Amino acid sequence: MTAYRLSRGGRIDRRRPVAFLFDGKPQIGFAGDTIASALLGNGVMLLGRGFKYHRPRGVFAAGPEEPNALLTLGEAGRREPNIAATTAELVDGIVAQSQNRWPSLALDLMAINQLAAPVLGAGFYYKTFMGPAKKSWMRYEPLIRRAAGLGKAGVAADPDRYEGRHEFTDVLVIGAGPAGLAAAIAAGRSGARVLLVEQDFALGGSLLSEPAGALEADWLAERIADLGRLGDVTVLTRTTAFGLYDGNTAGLTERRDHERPDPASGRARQVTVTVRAGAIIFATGAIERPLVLANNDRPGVMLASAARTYLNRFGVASGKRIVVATNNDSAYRAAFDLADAGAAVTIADLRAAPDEILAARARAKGIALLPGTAVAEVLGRRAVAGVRLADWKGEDQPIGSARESIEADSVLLAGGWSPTVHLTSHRGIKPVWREDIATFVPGGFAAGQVGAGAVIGTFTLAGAILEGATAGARSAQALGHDRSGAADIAIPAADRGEDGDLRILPAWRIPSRRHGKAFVDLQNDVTVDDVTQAWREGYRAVEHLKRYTTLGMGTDQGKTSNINALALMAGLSGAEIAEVGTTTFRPPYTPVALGALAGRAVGAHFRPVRRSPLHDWHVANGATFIEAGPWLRAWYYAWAGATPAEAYIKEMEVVRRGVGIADVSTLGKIDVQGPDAAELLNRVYVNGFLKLASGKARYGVMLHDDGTVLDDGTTTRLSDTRFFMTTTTAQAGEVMSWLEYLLQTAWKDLRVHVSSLTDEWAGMSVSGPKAREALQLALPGEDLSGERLPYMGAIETALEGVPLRIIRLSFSGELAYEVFTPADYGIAVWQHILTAAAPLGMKPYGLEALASLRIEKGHVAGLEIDHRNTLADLGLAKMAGREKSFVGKSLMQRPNLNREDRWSLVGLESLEPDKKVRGGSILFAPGEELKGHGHGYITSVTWSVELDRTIALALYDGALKHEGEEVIAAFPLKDEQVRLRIVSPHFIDREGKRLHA
Amino acid sequence: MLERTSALASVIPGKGKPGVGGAIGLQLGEARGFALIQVAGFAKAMGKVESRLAALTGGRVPENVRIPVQTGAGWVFRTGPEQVWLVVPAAGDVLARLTREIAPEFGVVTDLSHSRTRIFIDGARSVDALKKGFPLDLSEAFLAAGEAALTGVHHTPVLLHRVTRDRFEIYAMRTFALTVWAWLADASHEFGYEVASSEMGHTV
Repeated sequence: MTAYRLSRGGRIDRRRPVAFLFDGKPQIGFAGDTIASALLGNGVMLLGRGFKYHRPRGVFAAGPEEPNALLTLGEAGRREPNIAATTAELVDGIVAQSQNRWPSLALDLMAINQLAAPVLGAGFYYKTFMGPAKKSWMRYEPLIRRAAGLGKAGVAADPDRYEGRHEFTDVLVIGAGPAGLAAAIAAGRSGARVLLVEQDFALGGSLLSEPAGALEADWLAERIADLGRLGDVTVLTRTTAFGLYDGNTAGLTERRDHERPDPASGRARQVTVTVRAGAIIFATGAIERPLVLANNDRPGVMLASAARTYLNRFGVASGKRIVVATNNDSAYRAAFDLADAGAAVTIADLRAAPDEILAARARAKGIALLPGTAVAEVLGRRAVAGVRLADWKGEDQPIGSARESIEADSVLLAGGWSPTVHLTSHRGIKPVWREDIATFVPGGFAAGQVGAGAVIGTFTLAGAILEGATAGARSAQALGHDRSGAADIAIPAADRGEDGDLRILPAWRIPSRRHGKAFVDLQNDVTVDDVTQAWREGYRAVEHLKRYTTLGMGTDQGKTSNINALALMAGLSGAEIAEVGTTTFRPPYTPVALGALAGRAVGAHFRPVRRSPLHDWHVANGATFIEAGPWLRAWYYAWAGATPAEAYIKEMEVVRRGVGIADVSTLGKIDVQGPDAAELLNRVYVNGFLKLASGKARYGVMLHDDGTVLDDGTTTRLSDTRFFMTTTTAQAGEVMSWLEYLLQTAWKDLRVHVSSLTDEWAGMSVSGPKAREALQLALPGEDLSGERLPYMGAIETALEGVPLRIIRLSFSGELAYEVFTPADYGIAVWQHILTAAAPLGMKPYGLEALASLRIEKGHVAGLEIDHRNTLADLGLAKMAGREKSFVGKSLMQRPNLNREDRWSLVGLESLEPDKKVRGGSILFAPGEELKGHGHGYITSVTWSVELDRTIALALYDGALKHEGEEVIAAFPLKDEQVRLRIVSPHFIDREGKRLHA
Repeated sequence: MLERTSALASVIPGKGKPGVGGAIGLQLGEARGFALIQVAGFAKAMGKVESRLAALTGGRVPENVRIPVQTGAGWVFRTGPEQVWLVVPAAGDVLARLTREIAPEFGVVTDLSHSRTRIFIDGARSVDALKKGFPLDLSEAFLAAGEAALTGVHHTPVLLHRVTRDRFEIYAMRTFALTVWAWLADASHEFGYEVASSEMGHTV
């Protein structure tokens, strides 16, 4: 016999059937079902296979603790593996598949692993697959992974949307069982803003498992109505609090599969919510743990509380002949309800003298109560066929020989309760052992946090409600919300006799005299024997046990297994369970989809993109773009060619032989203002700035305080108290922060303010022998002669009333001007210059040409300034003022920064024209073994239109001491070597005639 | 005549997107025609700078970031201990007057009018869209109409100004403006949005 749907009862909506597929077969459930309850209702008992041994597995639990019934849901891009059938809300059209079986669930040939069970014990792969060769493991691993494991993720792009959201609340209540409902209502009545989150799709927690029509059900309906009347209480169902973080911050995952959200409408399927709360109330309840006995993994074996949930919530009976194996009172509730539903129930209670009231009730319901009796073994292979019973006199006494076997189609296990302490432990507060209820409870709470109900070991309904109400009112009060009577919440009269304290006789394993695996961790196929073996091999700490056996890993993170395993370890060691302790609880509490964590940070929204004020012009005029840090920069233009290799050479030629214009808006630009502005610059630059005249620009280099080069750039004096600094694109933010840091900490006495102007001003470089002529055409009324605007001169002027700053300086090595204008006018000014200079053949040039031109000139840039080199390394030692002080001056004297063999700037010319020279190539001396770090590396490489050959800049041991020598540039990734010659890094116009023209 | 080009010229004017059920619950757009002037005083002279500012704008200088002040000249935001932003009509002479009035020994005046793009979102679901990225409590109890926050969205720093209950203005860095717009439009999608014509000097 299998589980079956009762003709009535449960909280499902029988008027709304829901169709779905399981392993290709059509199934029908009802609205309000989970996939697990629908399959059980249809008599489907086999839902999966064990991790290692591929033993048949069925539904074991009714919540997120489910270790067995993991399914793959959805198809193609929506395929999602390892979803617990017990938490998946049934939605029309779901396509569910079983996992980890081949070729089918019913006929899984991988079950042959069971024959190899003797060698598949704990840590078998650490021992078995290390030989015979050194890298044997690399060959075995894929095979092992294929043979064992969980579901497989899809590779198709997920079409659904995911996103993140921030929420703020006074009181966050986690869990909407009796304690959580009471807490939310009390806090809400107090006037606090409340967020109540519940992982289930229905509110009620354990109350959902009470029979319809019971007093608890009425209470739940009334409290839900109360919540609806409170204005500032937000309720999120289908939302799991998966992590607790600093500052009363919690991470939630909100699922919306029931809405079938259409990504085309912008609605997200899952949302990661970051909640910052004034107070947090944990009402997370408790999870039942099983008894560990032989063959406790057979389909048809489940937790007693789960069977009760399936019965009362979903109208599904787990079987008709049911054996309840228990060591505590709580299982009696399931036994009573199942007996009321018509099942033949036997209770095998380890306790010799169960509670008399319960015993009397059991007998009154026709239940066979067997005190002092253990279920020693479950019979059957693909389904429960019966149990073998034995006398039980305690864990320290030998189990009796098999007394009798009885037929059964369902075995329910009740080994006690484990409070759901996971979240309360995420911030490092370890749970503590409570002997009286044989379980771990939270070891305390951080400020602003409190627990209520089963999570702190209160298992009575009345106790949970009282604690919840008190926690809600007090949490609100602590935040300034206080109304008398807020915590007055009715308590249902629980006269059923079962709502007592948890009376339990701890039992951590039921030994069997016969063969049969007793699983501690069903998801990872870890047995009692595995735990024993690990202990025998020296793994005495629980963290070691976990890693050696994989116990407690996987999607369920050992929710049903950890406590039993700890207790077994304690028993083996002769230690108290409290001494053994727990493993560390870390987020997430239940699995979180990577999509939900990524949210909308995918595709075009993966990261912010920074665009120049001239971007739209580049788009409209055939630019191809390239990412440079956050910037999207014009790489090259279609006028010059279809490929970068073709285009940048033409663009370089325009600059070298005529005139070009390039977008340099990405340069960092900083307004440095105040009476002490010159003094600030004089301190941060290695060269002097005190005497820089207004209308003049100066190239400057600044150091980190450790003496290495931070950045270079040009600063222009606009007036006595105002300077316009430019930095490299890459270091703009760092330089700005550095200046602010110095002004706010070291030099608070300086009257200077700095402001970023990077976004305020567009910049363009007009460069080439005809640059002056071109600008003159654009600005016919302006005197741009060498007398008025010499090299490193600057003027502020206007074009049709639009401000312009023109600075004569050169990155390309040609006569050149940088023209700056307020950003919104950037395109207009750029277009004006291009139009005016069209008769000269002016063309735009992109980043590739810009970078190549500076290599020819031998200007260092970000590729050379790698924050490890000194002024001398970059050939800039002469810039440092000897008489003045500057940041980094002291530490640049360190011996290590002044060694003669430091890698320093050199130029390289290729001696093999037919070979490609790659940036990053390692430099070796000819004949030297190409191994290790060599003597330096190539930083930048380009084709030189002037020299008609490949040239490069490099950092090389001893630098120009080796001028004229040959080196080998090796690129091991492609096994390439090229011969080059060391030359001066200034490939063109060493005298600077062009830029001074 | 040289024309200004907004950082959002490629998307405004433009089309919005209907949300769930075809809803159009939000309006996105850009407020243009403003000048943004930064005034920073030196520590010992900030009092003088503030009194000049107050006299010039006809209102007091805000004490904190959260509560800006709307004066006859425009909005005044506190953006740092010794720093304020003035958002005033572009056509006015406030910049010139400030530059004249605040001597270099007291403080500095910097024109940042082109450095920020002012994106607005308006509609009953604006908070729901913004909370997808702003790590701020956007309830009216914490950020009332008229209040502001220096914060960040999509990894970029912004000033967020709640102009009315449902209308927020985001002062985004110009070079990041299009990426912030794209983020905001995407966040608004499920509620449905339309793209408004550019507003000249709205609320200044």
